[in-house]
Amino acid sequence: MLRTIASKEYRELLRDGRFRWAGGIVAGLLLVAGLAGFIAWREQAAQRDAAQATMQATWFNQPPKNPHSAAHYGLWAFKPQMPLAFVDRGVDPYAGTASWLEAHRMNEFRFRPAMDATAAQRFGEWTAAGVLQQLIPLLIILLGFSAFAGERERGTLRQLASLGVPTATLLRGKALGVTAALAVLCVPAAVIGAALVTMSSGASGLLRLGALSTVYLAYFGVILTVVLVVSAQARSARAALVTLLALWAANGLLVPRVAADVAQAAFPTPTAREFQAQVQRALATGIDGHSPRGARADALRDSVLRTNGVSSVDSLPFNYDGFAMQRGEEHANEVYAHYFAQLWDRFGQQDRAQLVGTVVAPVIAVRFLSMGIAGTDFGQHRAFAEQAEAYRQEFNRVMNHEIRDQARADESFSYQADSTLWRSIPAFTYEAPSLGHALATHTVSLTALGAWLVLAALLVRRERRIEVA
Amino acid sequence: MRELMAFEWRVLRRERTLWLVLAIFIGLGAYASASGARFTGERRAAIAELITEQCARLDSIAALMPQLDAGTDSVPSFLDPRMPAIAGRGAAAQYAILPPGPLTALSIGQADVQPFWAQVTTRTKQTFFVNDEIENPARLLAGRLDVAFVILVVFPLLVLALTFDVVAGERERGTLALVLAQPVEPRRVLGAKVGLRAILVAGMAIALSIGAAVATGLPLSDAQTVLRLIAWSGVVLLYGAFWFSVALLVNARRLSAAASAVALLGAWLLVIVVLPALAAAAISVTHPAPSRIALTTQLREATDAAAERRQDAVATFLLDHPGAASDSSARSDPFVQAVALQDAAERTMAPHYVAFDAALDAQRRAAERFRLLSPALVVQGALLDLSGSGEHRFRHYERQFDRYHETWRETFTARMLRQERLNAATLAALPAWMFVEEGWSTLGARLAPGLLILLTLVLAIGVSGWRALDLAGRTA
Amino acid sequence: MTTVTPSPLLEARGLTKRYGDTLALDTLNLSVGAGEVYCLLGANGAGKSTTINCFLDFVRPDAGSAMIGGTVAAQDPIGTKRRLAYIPETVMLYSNLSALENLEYFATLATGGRPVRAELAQHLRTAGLTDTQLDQRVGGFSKGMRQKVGIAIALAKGADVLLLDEPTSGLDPKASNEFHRLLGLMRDRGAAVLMATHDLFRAKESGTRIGIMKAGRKVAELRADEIGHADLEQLYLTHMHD
Repeated sequence: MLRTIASKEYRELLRDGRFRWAGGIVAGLLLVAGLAGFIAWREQAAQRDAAQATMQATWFNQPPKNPHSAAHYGLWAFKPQMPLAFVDRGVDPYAGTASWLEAHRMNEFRFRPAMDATAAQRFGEWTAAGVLQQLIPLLIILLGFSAFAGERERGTLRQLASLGVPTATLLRGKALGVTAALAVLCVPAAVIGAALVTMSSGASGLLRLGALSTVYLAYFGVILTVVLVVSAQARSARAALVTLLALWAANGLLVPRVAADVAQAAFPTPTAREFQAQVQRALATGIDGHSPRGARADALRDSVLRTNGVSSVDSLPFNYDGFAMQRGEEHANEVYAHYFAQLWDRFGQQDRAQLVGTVVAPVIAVRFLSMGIAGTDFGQHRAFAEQAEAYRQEFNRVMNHEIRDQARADESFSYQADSTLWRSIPAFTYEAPSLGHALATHTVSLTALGAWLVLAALLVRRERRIEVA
Repeated sequence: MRELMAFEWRVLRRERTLWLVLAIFIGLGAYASASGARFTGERRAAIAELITEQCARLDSIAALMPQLDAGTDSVPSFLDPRMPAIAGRGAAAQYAILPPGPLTALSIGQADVQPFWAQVTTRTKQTFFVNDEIENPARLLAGRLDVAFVILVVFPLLVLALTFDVVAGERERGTLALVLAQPVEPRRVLGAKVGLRAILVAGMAIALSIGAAVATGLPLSDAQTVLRLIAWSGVVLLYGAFWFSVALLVNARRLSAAASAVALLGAWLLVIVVLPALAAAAISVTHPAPSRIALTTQLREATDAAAERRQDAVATFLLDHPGAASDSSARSDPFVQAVALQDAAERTMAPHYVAFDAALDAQRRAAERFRLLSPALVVQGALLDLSGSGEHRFRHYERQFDRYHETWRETFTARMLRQERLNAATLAALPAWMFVEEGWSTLGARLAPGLLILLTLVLAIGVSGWRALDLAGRTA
Repeated sequence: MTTVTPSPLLEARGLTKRYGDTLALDTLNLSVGAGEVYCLLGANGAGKSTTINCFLDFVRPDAGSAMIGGTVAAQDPIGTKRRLAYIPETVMLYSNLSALENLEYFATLATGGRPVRAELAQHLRTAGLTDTQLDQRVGGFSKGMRQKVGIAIALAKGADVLLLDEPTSGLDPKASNEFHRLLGLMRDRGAAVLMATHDLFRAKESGTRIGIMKAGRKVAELRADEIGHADLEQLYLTHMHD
């Protein structure tokens, strides 16, 4: 019986002009979004990789110079594109793409792609993820809003009920039918996506694509259930459609923005100026404000002299400038680590606060999960920033230690090193967090989506009796 | 006609639809206004902070300078603010601030992704290396619920909710037969129904614009603001008229109310989702943004190349900038050398920068063309430009910044070469930053084409819709 | 002294209407004078409603003319509508408005002026509504009450031609009786009434003349007092059969 109901629903939908038009348009948009995204992604990825290689070459090919000059010369780190970024760009357009790694200073990431995009693109651009998150639910609504309400108005529901078809079977059959109709659209899209991903990133990308598909399938399941339940409860097909459209508008357009506002109001972040000022203050006076730069330097010198039992820095068995610079560097590293971690933790708090909106709008949880799996959430931007910072600290340390160990007391800043030193530091490579790691940072979203699934299942079970007239 | 409209109003106001629409409208409008006001408030506070810091810094330097001259105080040479190289590079540096646009509270637009301040120094092309404001990227991704968003996306739905069943409603309610049996021309009855709804829609458009302006605390005594607000209200009115005329056209097809609603929803999706998606894809594909990363790599290589031929760079620099107090001391002055190297690198980079700017400008021009695909995009562009939060005002700021930057550098280069020290008087006489808004002629020239096309479209659709509208729908 | 028959208030001459291949009206001739109640009997699809629609100019005949007071409806729809009142099978009104407000609206449309509320209230009372019902929202009104509002519209208009489409279908006997009384009232005021109906009993009770339609043609016409109830039924069924 289930199959009968499902296949009738499926056949009806496929013949329906509504499905043809709406489904066709959504499929078209998905295709455009996916392909345009892939083309841009591939070009970006190639560009970034090439640029990083060039940058690394400039580091390796530095002429002989003082190691400290080399530390000031530094290296630019460019954030690479993650394999599934063409499906879900996540926060990439809004997070910087490049950071200058240099001595003494931890720089912010610059060059947000969104800054160079036009407002028209920000308004109109749809990624594949956007289509999946906003437009497929609309399609589901269009396909399912009259599943029960329409049959009730036509009178056929009464006939079905008089045949003794149990409500649960009816619900499941219709759900199956709508799913089958949707699959006509989604399965080819998934296949194309899989082909693109395999072409560009191989097996790891496929795994992520699989995880992404699972998340979206769960989301569509939730939406479908809500649509069918509303259709069953509504007084008329028109009332069902209006209710569902209002829910869709709230889910997709309104709640996410309001949630973001609320999250930012609850956990405000400092302005760039305030942040800089905080960092400068801590650098000058220590994180606790109790060790001013001058005093620190003096204390250090005195303790080193004491430990080594000499009376002047020139008598030390190592170059004091190199030593002191490294200490200074370490202090600065601590300061930067502290304040950046604080800032980034704040962002995390804001994100979790946004998730409160999931109670009303499941799309928020799906958005974060999708970004997480695609590798384009803030957590993974942070991972790159942290690895770049670790690399910066490393090459600074090597440079400073070179001076400390190799330079005489009077040639701290005239000692020359050459490419053997530059090349002794391996090239900067980024190790992206694994899928499991990414998912672990999104447990709240996973739980929220799971809760919605449970709710959907409960709603279906509760529908024991549908009004037939 | 007035009586007919009064009756139509009586029928309409007893239905739930109208009040639901108004409630949503007012609720969202209030929230959006609050959101926009908060944004501009925070922005202004940040700017005030910057100015405070600048004044404090400049004041302390002005106080320090005479003491240094007198010898009552001393600082390490690399911190001496009297040295033009030190002052220009940071100590006396001023902030070039882009204040929030006249109506930014109504439309935040790109203002949250674009930098709004930079410290002007003698360093290299700063408009390239701007610092971004701190903002959670996930929040930027979510977008803002500002008044412009409500107008662009929600207002059409509300207009359609009020107008989708002008004709079909009467028919489906059953009262049509009785109405047509009266000695009134059906067109007069129709005129009253359409006219009343037109007044409602126009009222909503104007009320939202003015209400939001008041709610966000815009300075209504400033002539420029008022002018922009009037233009803004006009654009909103035009947008409302567009949706109204589309509704008329659909009503003229004599579908059932439900079918009309679905058709209008389809129109909404077409204008707000599909066409802008195509336009955005077209812009990305035909005019992708030029790569700042590539430019960074090129700059690095140019700087390296200049450093390799250091003496040549210095010689060229001194040739270009005659007026050095002493050539030989200039040649060995590390500050002069640094500036010379920077100059040489910039000379190499100049064509790249020009190409970059040209590509960016080409992208913006292409965007203006592709906007014409959708009335929503045309209106978005107009609202952004009027409120001052679009990419054009930002480019305008960048160009002014570039000019100011040039002036700043020249001032300090001249002093450095002449080995002139600064004092409190010369400090006060340094070029000050003053942002000048775009003129109405520029603004108008940019907005006019799209708005005129939209106006023509509205008139064409509206007139043909109104002509084809037939309350009776007789089948003879 | 010769009695001059006044020209009929309602007249159909050779009225013909085609819908695609179907002939809805086939050269129909009909006339109703002042003070007359003409009952048009016939099955569904016989053409009764189409006839009425021609007088209302809801539909334009392919041939012939429908005339109100000597004027062709198709040529002067506004003028002819001023003289007539139409009461459809179900009088649909604006549910959120009261009976008085509904009447006010239609009366304004009908007369073009601003009707006096007290007069309108009186019309509603004449039609049979109680004072409390005057200000009640018509959303909850029964079919009979709605019909009374329809009659009040006719009274407010001072129409001398009344077009009724299945007026007694769905009315309980009491309401049906009420209607009969009101019909008499209109007739006595000199109105010409054309009533399309299935109700054989009511046709004989209230009508002056009876016409039987089949497939767009008038197949029989007789005076109501010429025939008894049972014979009328026989006559009707005979015509329906062939």
